[in-house]
Amino acid sequence: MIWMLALTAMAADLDLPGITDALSDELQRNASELTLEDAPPIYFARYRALFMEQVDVRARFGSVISTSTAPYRTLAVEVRVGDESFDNSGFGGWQNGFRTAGLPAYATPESVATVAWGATDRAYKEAIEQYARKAAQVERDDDHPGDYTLAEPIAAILEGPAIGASEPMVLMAEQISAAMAVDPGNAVLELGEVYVGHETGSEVLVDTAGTRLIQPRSELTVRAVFQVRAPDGQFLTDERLWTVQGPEQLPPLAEMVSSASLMASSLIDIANNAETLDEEYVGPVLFEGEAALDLLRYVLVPQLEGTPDDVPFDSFFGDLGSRASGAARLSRRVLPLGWTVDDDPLRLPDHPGSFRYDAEGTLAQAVTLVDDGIVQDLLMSRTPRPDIRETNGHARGGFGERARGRTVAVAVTPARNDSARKVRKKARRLANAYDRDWIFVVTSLQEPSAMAVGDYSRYPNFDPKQPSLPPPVALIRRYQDGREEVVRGAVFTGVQRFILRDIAAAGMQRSTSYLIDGTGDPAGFTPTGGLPTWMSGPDVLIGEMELVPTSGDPRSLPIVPAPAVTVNDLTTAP
Amino acid sequence: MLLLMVSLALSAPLDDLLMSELTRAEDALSQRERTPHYIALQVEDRTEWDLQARYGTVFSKRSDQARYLDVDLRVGTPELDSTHELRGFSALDGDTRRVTDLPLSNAPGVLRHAVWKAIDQQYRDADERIVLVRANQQVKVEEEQTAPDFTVVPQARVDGIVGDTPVIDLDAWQPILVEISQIMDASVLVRASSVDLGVEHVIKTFVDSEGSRLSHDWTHGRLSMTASTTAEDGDVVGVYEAIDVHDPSSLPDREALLRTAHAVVERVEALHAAPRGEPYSGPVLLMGRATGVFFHEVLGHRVEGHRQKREDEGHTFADHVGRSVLPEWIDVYDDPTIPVLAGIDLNGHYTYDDEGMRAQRASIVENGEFQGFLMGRSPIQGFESSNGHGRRSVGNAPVSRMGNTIIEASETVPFEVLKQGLRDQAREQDLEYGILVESIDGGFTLTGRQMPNAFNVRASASWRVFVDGRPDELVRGIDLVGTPFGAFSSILAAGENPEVFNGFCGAESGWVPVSAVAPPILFERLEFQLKEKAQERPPLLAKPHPTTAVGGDS
Repeated sequence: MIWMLALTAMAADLDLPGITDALSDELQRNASELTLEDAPPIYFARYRALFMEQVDVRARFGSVISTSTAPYRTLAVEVRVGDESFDNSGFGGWQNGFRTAGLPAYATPESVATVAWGATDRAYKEAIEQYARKAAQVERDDDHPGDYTLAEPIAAILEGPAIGASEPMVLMAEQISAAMAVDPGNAVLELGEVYVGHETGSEVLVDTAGTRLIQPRSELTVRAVFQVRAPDGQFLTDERLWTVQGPEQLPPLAEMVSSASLMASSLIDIANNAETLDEEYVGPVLFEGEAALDLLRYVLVPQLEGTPDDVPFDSFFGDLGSRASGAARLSRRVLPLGWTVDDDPLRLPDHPGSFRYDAEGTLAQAVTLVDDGIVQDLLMSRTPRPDIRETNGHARGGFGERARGRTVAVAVTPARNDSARKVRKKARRLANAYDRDWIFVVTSLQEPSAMAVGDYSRYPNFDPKQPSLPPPVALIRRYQDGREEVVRGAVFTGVQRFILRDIAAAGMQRSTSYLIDGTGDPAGFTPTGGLPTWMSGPDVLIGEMELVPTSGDPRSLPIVPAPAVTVNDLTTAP
Repeated sequence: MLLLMVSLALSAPLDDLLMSELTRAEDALSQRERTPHYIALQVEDRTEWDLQARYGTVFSKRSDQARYLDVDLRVGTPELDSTHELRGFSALDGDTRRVTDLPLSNAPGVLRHAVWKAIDQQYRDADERIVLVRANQQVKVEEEQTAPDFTVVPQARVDGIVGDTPVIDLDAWQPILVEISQIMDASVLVRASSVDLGVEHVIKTFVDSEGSRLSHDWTHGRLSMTASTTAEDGDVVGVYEAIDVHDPSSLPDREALLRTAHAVVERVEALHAAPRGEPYSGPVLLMGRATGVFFHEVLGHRVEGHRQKREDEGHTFADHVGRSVLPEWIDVYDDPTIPVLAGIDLNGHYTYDDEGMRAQRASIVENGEFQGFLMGRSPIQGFESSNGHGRRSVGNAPVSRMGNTIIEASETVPFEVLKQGLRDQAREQDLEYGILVESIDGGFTLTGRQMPNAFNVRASASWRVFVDGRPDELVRGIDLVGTPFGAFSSILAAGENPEVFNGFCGAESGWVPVSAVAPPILFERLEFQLKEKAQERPPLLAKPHPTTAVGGDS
């Protein structure tokens, strides 16, 4: 059976210029007429509206669990009262002048204006109260850089991608998920699911400075999630992600099926045959492939994001609303000598995360963040910080909250990419210092959103004050003579930022895409949720890290034996 | 918009597959120290259509399919099993189950896998809980209710009554809903409005360890209109009108719906201008729909059988079997087998409950005398059998719930006589006016012991009926409150024409569709309290469309 889901042609019927006019008019009317006596005035306001067509499919072991095709229309309202030096933003809690509201599927200029009217009224009243709360609690330092930077308006209408033709999304999800229905041996198949999320359309941005933007948005994300329980009860996950702008950029289906199948077989093999880590390990760790990029994503990137954190709101419930990482600092050494890091939202124009104008309507800029291992610049939005006052067009997220400076397409380049042979040699030397003839190699980390499928409590709690790494899918104990043993049941502990300063060697350059959370976490919360992001970086040899054993719980093993299933039983795909 | 539905291609009968997995689990668990004495599996295949118009245009339009599994697994014995109340263990006394979503096709491998996981998880929870239950029994005082936890039904139920999937043409409805939305949105006072057509078709497939195999379906369509505004004092007032049907093709035509839309707007505008009511104690006339909700809250929830077992419940009517609780000219019963009454489809109609029992009429009050309770398969002393009222929404354990609650009066008077009675009562009580409750938008009741055993019926339109003959005056912002016995003891008379209230009732087993049918009833004395009031100022600027400059206070 072939089930087809199609993106609709609804977007073609939208009067985007008319809607943009209506939003602009309503914004100006509200900004000039919304005034309450003795209340701080509106000095800046912005509307962002998304007009997307969406297809979502979820399939498990070859069978569809759910499908939907629906338009996604939403309006984000941002109202700032006071002035640039001190306004209602950057303070914890909610009801702060940043709101979202649903827009009609068949949006008209009149209907979006009405929605904007209601949402702006609420946002304005909340902004006034938030301003008062902030004024009552926050003492302004002399070096306070202000809360916002006004910018010159931009007017642009960018060409959008063509609405996708009918795509066999369901068939794709069925076939990839069917490939994960492998023989589990003594392990237990917990879950093999594929999530497809395809959205395409336009984003409209208008602000009181006169900015008027219409930009295309298109993303097709496919994530295969596999969960298995080892015979000792240990829970293991792995996943594969493809995130592109449109169906034509996906690899051939056979390749995706093969990749999912290999991933599932490999994890089953690990669950059944890998030994478990039996004692704490301290020593060198070689991060290869995806794991190397994950290490950089979790440990390096937070140090390069410059948007200041919210000041926490001291409430009855304790401090609310601050991520309070304070990780980013200019002029700090974060990588070895000779390393550079740069980010360019337009580096890969065909990547779904790429944009010409950021979430605040600023022209995206290429930024050299790290030079010779030292932080030279940070990823900035229009929220200034004492050491950087200007945006560099990296604001992302921000629907219903402040946009933050985030990575888009980041390249981490070492002073030199050593050959695999040379990296092995350095690793051997480091291992010898610990009196071992082997080191641990990590090739992939477990993905938070894949861990959380079926039980949200498994999503890691990212501590903004300290880097944390998800557990590795497995470790490879690589001996000097080339032998390899697979080990499972380990988690990283005591991960510090300084480990990157002491990188012992950089190997082959790799690249990958992943999804980051819009609010600041380095991973999306759901399999297809988050902002597509690209990274290039080398394999990395770390001089010393700590890994500790984590054991499975035999009580988690099934009491009713799992049914015997085979691939043929499981798939309905032709 | 292109809406493509996934057809349910049945490669093997679902009940066969469920039964085989149930049997396999039973066999596997039979060697355990603690074994299940009962297992039931119920799958809900849901197909839903929804079309909503707001702001004079289509706001959303979608159709979805989903399939959910519920596992009811009891470890122990029917006398004492893992579902037994844990006294004092409030944090552990909930139902920990989760909704299990199943594939839309009957591919046996993946279905078996999902069913197995759900049974295994439910057994694991029940196996742990029965240990806690036994320990709890040892350390607590003897229970007041000593009835078993479960009614064994030796006779398996086997039936298959599934109709065709309804055909919904959302495209045909679209211009009508948009027109209605435009009518409501055109009012400068209406701040938010919505018109929604929702249709759901649910097929339930049930198997249990007693050998039962059932499949039955339920179709529900609702066309609703809602509009609200903010009065100058911040009070958000709204009107909600809904038409519920078993067959979407029987919904009213365009002209009738447009008339309703105009009426909704007029009522919102009238409520905007209406004065706020005040706390009140005196005679009250409830119109039929309001009476229905009143009985649902005041009587219905208190006669749900499982509530008579819990030690923290009020047991309001537990000792009243055979005693008079209402005037002798009133009967109350709950009968889910009635699909239509007075030409109106009843929401609370079903053929089998969620414990696999055939729906039956349950007599609650006869000639004013209390008869008995709504029963699922959790017996109470004197009421050992289910009367087909074990209900739930997916993801919850079934408990006894209402279906079609029907209040009948054998002695009635014309409405004008009732209304004059209201004035006369007010005069006798030296009041300027009595209150007529025309419509309500819901209510709630507290049936436990820790809080007052009180009810709140949320009046959405009440009228002051003056004793001196002045025109009736619409008021807003007051709710009917009270306690059961006090309220029932002040019933004076009933009117002639029963009305139907269709709604959805939320309780510990989730949201279930219900109906209440009742005539208008005059009470000698009831109380009103002020409704909670929003504190937001009305919008500071006028609505952008239409451009008429009314509606702001700046």
